[in-house]
Amino acid sequence: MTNTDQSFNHLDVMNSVLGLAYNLKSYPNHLYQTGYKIIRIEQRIHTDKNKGPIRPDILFMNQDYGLFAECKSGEYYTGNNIAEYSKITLRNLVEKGIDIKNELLMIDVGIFGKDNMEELSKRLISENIRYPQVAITGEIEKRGGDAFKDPNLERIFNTPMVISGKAPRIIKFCEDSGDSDFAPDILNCLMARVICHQLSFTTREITSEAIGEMWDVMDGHFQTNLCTKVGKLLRYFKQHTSLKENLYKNDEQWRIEVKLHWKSQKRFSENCTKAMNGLGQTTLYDF
Amino acid sequence: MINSRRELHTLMEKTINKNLQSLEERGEMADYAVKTNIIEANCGLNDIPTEFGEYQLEIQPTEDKFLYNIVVKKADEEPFLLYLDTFFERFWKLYSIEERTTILRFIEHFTNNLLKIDSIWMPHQMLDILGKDYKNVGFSIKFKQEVLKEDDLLDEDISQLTMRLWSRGAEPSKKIVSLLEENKFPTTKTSTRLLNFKDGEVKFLDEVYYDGKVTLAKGTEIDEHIHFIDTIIDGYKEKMIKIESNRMSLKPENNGFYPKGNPFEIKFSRKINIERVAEKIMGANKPFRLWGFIHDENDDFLRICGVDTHTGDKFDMDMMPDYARICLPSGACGNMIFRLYTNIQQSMDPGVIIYDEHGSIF
Repeated sequence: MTNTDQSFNHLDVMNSVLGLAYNLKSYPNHLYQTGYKIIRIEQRIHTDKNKGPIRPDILFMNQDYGLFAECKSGEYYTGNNIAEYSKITLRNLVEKGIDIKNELLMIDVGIFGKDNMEELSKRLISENIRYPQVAITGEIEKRGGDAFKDPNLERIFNTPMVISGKAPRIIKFCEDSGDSDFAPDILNCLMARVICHQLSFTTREITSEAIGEMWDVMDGHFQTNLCTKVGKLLRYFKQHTSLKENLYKNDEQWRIEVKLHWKSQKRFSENCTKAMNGLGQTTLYDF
Repeated sequence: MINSRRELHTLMEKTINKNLQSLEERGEMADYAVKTNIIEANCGLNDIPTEFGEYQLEIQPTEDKFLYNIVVKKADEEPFLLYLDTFFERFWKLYSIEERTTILRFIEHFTNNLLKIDSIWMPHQMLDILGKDYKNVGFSIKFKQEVLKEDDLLDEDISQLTMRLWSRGAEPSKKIVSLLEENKFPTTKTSTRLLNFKDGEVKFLDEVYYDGKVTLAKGTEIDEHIHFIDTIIDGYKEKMIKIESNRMSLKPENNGFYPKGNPFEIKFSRKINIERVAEKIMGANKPFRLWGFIHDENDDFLRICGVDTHTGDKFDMDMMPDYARICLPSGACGNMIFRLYTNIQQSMDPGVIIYDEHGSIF
């Protein structure tokens, strides 16, 4: 498995877990039902002044409990700091500006994964990590580990529930995102530019548009990395897909051209879908 | 041309009085009916091009800061006058006393061809709510299956139904609707005829259409008609605020992130052919006017990135046989949700429901 594939899966697991906190009928709403709300994503927390910060993927909270969800896409890598999660205290949360509704708030840590859960579970046991483990595949079900401190979570995750479709796309990319994670949003930005008659753009402009309001809080190094990936992606689209009939480049300036007629727009949509399918079969590392 | 709001009111009141007298004496109107179109505007008046399609606009201010005369010119046709009231920043009122099809054609171009300009889209539940303070004396129902093909339909499915009823009292309307419901016929109203009868006289008889057109068929007080239009806008605005509060974003906070908003969920009354529906809805064509592409597809699941061609705003949509989900990003115009839902109701699935976190929106 390449890095790219692995990060895609991590994003997929993240969204599968985040989706549980929304009141949806088309996807399980286990965390919504048990009163949990999403509080933070990828919150850096210092539990030990001699060590670096830990960064659990998602923090959910209800009136009486907190749940740190660690999303795992691999089978063997459990993470350097995962044992530290159990050391997080209310004080750590307060320091991060998180509202505590109950001085007796108890904190759970849950490991969430997909088809990797069976192998990962063995690995966790070997490392003596006993956090409750939940698999979200064709169905959602607790697969091992200790009981959740919150009895409602323990009950709801112990009742298997079938999932049809996929979780909503709450977050679109993360630090290690691969091509297929951000490619749809780049193409989406091109469409928006066609509609708004803003046909010329630089790689940096289109990258910041795709990232949206998060762009301004990203550090410069990360922004540059993303721009490099997007530049590579645009060149791939231009050279190796049917989008070559719509994309033009002159020095640093790109141009998108699609006639504002439903037939041309439909053709562009089909080209986008084909380009995305092509990405699914390969990665930019091949070019 | 008018120079003030007072002159506009006088002009419209004169017209309705003349029409009322003529209706009573000769059974026909003396002049064209007063019509109001509610326009959803995501831009300022200065952003409106003075030329589009075959039309040329001449916009002239009045003494009222928000009121304008618009002279509309089209080659080989007589120019005509519209009166634009921009008092409500996002919902403009376009008054006219002109021939019906001339206005229809203009509004069609105005709301479909200009970026950031749209009509409003009221599903039948909103038209029903308008009737609660007045006497309902008629309605139109229009349902035409334009998305699903014959082989997707069951024997009992109705692929087309058009009905227009005008009645003297409210009872016939109610009974006909109940009869349709009992027999599982579509009851998606596309217009409702409302009578405001106070102090022994007809204050107004207005026909309100799903797209924000309101025709004053009969009346004695123009203020009552204008007040009624404002209440339609209030109701729409209230829903818009609710819808736009669900727009989704990821906010940075103390070295972490915090997600805001909720996806919308559309529940179809029966399983749909997702490829066919996606193709129709995302085809950059009337009436949905959404443009998108599929970027994730497996059994019974499609994921789409799309753009609202009215605004250029982006959105995400997931499609499943029983449900569709829509994520609107922060800043996106919520009118897309009204347009999508109203058009699914009128041209695909009359029993469709749309939810936000708190339940059914309409």
